[in-house]
Amino acid sequence: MDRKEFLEKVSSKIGADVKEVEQVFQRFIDAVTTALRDGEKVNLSNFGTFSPKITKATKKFSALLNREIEIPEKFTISFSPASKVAEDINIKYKDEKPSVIKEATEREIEKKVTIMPPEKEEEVSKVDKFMEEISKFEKEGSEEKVEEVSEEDVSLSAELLEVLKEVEEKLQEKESVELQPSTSEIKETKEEKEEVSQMPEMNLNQEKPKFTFGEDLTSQPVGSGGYQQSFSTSGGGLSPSSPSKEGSGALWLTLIILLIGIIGVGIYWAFSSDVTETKKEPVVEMKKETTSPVVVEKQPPTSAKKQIIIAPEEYSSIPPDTSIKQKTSLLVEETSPEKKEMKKEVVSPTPETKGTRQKETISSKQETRTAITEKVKPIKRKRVATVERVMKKPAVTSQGDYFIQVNSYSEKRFADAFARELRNKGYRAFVEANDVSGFGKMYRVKVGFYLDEDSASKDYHNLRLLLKKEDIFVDRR
Amino acid sequence: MNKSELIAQVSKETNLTQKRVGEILDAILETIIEVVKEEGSLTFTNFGKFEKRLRKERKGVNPKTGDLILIPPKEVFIFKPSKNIFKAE
Repeated sequence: MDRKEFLEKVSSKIGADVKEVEQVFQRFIDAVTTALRDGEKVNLSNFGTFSPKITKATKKFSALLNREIEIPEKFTISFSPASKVAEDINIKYKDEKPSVIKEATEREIEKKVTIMPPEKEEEVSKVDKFMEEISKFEKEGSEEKVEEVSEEDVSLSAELLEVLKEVEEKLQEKESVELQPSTSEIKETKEEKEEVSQMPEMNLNQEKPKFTFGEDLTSQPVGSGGYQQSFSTSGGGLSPSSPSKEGSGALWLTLIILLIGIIGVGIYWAFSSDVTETKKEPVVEMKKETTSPVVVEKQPPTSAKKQIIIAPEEYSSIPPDTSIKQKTSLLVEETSPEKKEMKKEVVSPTPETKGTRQKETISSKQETRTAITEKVKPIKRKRVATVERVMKKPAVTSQGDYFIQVNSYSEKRFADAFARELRNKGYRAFVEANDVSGFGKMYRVKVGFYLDEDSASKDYHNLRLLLKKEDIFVDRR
Repeated sequence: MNKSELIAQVSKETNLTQKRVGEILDAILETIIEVVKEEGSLTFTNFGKFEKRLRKERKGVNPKTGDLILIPPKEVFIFKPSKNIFKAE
């Protein structure tokens, strides 16, 4: 359809004179072109937008012309149709939607997980929920504590004392070693890691109570000087009145810490399906053992009600740093520098928290741990992937007699550039200098070597298609 | 530049009312789309060519799930400016 027919069609459609339409049409085109020439966009609603565009000047090496070509900058117009128009034009394929040919294999899925794990957010939300629960628990617990302490008798104290003493003895044995640089913990964790390399969660769970315990110690009014002092006071400072408070506080704490442990194991289990049930059970047991001592250590300082309330604020400001340092020092030895950074980032918010410090720190530790486990796995997978990629390299050997002569140049830089391009595309290209009579020195670009002609001819056909070049040939040296 | 600005400019030059120019311009744009839809292309000398082009179906990967998918064919509306569009004057 030419311009005349088009104008006639328009005029018949609207019932106007052809001359009138032509006048308007000519002015319309002129106005659009002048606007575009001035670098102005033309936006026609329900039709589309014309926008001027300048392409950058570039240099390109032409294999066909044997030299570099300068592509000058160019002024063009880009047109993008209105969405309504685009739909209207695409009516024929309107209802077609992308269909899945082949579902992702497991390895591909793993890769995708490393890139963007959508599960992460869910877990974080889980942890958040848990933290809320803990805070609720704590509030209730603290209220009840104050009431119960006043009401309860010291009847349970005798039984509790015995148990507590036993636990304390055990603790003292442990901590006397642990306190100095906390090396025993590391050893333990290391040993465990050697045994079960995929279970960082286990070690971390064990550490949990120890950290809280450290915080408690610093909060003690008596043993403010250091860990060892506080321990000695805590060991000997057991009064008959203290266990009664433990009864209420210990229950809550044990409950909460057990909950944390169970949920931690649950989260971890969701991650690593490889872990057998037998391995999990010891983890829980360990927690029970370690959690109860924590309670024991806590109570002695809380001889008055007020101290229960004040204590958290005290160790919210100072001790978390020490605990963090411990953590980081542990982690430094355990993990690679990449992970270190991650931990520091996540751990930093813990000192700012208020009131529900202990549990929040614990839960935040959980977060860090889950994060760590997530981060650890991807790295492993990546390494595996790289190894496989290395293996996949084209099976071209330096042995063999066959090669493909691709191109030849009189200048070395062009030959090198061409060879580089080929190498980037996966071919084993190299440059060979030859003296040709009548031409001088020529630089030949070759691909090879191949053991037999069949494997060479495969690449030969590929190269012919790739370069759109006819004068390629397979040769024998 | 807007459509209303364009209409104002054209009406000044042609001594037609803006309403009339707007009607004619809308009709022009509508017919361009109609013709392209029916015949596939419409060329205006010294301006350019409106065209309907087929984008072939191709394989792609869903970045979220990693599934290999077949992206269906599509017809797109294209404007290719004339070489002379900036040479005039």
